[in-house]
Amino acid sequence: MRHEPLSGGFWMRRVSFGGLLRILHILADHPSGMRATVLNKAVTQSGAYLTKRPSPPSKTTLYHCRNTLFQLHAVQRRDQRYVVNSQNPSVRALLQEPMPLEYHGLTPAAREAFAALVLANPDCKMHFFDLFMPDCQDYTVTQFRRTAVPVTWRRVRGQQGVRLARRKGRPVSTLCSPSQVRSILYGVRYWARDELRLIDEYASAGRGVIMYALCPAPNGQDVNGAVQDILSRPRSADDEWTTFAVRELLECCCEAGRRPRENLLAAIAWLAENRADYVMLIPTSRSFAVLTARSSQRENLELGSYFQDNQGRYISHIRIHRDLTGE
Amino acid sequence: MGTPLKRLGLRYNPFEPSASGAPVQESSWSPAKWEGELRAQLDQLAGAQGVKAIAISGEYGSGKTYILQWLQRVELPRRRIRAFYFDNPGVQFYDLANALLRQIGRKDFAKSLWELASTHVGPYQRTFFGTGFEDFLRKRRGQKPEVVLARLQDAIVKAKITTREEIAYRLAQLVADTPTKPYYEYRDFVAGRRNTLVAEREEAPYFGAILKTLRLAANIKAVAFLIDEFEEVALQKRLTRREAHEYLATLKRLINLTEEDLWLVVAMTPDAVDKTQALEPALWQRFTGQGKYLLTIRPLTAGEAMLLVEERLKAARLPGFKPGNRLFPFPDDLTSILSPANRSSPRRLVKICFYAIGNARGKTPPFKRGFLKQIEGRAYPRPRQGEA
Repeated sequence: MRHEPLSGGFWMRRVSFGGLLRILHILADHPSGMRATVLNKAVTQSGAYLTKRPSPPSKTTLYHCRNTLFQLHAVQRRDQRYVVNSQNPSVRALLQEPMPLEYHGLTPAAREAFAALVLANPDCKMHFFDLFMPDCQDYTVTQFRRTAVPVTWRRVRGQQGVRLARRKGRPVSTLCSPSQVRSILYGVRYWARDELRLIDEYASAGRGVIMYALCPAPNGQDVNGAVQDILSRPRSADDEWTTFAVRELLECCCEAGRRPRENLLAAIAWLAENRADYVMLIPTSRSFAVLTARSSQRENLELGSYFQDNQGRYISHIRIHRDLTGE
Repeated sequence: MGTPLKRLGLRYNPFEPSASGAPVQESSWSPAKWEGELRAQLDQLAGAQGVKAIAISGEYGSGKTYILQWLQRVELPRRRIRAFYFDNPGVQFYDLANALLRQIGRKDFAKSLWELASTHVGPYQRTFFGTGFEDFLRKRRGQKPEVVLARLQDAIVKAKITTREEIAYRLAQLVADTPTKPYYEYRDFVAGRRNTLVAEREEAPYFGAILKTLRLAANIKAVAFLIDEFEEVALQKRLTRREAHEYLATLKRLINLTEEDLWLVVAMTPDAVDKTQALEPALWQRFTGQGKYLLTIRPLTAGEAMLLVEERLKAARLPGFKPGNRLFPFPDDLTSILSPANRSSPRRLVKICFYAIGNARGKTPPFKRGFLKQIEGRAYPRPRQGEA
């Protein structure tokens, strides 16, 4: 068995895990394995890996897919051929899952199996997941979801680097080179947030972007729980109305409650729709909301900390009447 | 849409469909708690030296503009403070100078400056300065520009408007060029350009000189800037990293104008408060005196909403008309008919009342609950299923 170069442990790239599972299924149909060129051809012809562009995936993209599967020990190399590592229980679990349809996400079971592979990878652990687990070296997906502490990331002012730090602590890691940023920030972080739903994140002015673990595995939207969370927040005893910042709700309902951001936003939408007499949405100026954003991606990230109502306004605060209770 | 105002005992509809700020007619009213809190803050700050700042935080439609206009029209003149109202002034420091001088007008400002300076010219220059501003403007056309500029510059320094030569020169230029260009252009306020009216790298003292001119010319105690919708400064364009911080830098520089007695009242949304606080905690602490000078506008209570409607109606009643009830043509339980969300927001309340009176044809006052609910639903429809 031969290992491909590790690029100093920063080999992770933004790939679709739905596509990886389809590639894994193709390899599983060939027990004797497939050479890279043959695998590339099969993937391209079958349309197993889709990109946003209409053209088929590039050779580089397919290399990163192969390399990701290889680094995660989902596949092995024998005599220039890639074969499925069926001894790994997570891989076996993955192959029991149906091949995901075009642009459809993974099933929760497939997501958990991939998460187990990613958390078992020393590079992913060392550079990213261990930052969330200060007192634990060896952990499962469930343990990560239950005990991980929040981590913030922010650009280093005047430089290209990115600094990662625990919520209330000094920086624990700095990504200095573009390759490190690409690999950790746009690779593993993206996998954990968008593909595996291990974490979610929100931007907070002055504090950077706060990443926190999600628990339990979100099978569906727990909107009712989020509504109860909002309504159970302490209210002003003297005033008829209490105002909450959406960012404050993200912190207490999502970050502290390990709840996906979308649950909270859906809960606010529900309140605005069903309790309109007792809930007021307080909008802000969009341009002010993205005051510190320097790119459209960053704008989207910062706008993610606001609730967008049905009129397209960005809501920064909500106020709730004292007569509206959680019962 | 005919309005049977006479039948309702009204001279005009005292509400606006799109309330923003105080109404034109004299029926202004604001909750006693706002006025009391603000007056207390103004009293506390009055004894302090240098720049005095107050931040007003409130959601859209809560009455921020109304409060600023109340300060401008009622409270600050009472304290011999001349107030200038700015709406979304821009990110650069000189955007404020531009907005201020455009509001005053070039000729008026030049005249103030000229009047102050002209008493300080030497006897040999009396023929030039002694016969009034209009005469000066006429004579100026025949003079060599450098001669006029030098005389004015000298007089401005002697009048103690500024001690800096560069600033005195720019102000002299502002006066001397008025006959040929009696208006301002944006480029006049871009430092470093040819014939610019502002001093380069001397923003704060330049601004201080303008404020001093205004104060001395009108014999007032201080000048106040009332800045509305400060969070909209970023609206004009996508800002560069440097420009994004200009927003905060402008606030900082204004605060650093310690030589002049300047009042600064900035109205902003709760999000702008949170963001400014997070991005520049030290500035925010200084700006609000560690939270002492932050007025948070609270939603109207049922009693305050009732008073607002009552005061507006009172001002518009036909002389001699005896209303059947306090809020006539509205029922006295108006505030319990409207949803708490709508009656707690002054803008929403005023809008609903406007449309109720506007659609009163065929309705017997006091208006019935069903009619008011219908108007409320039309003015502020509830979000429909699937839209939110």
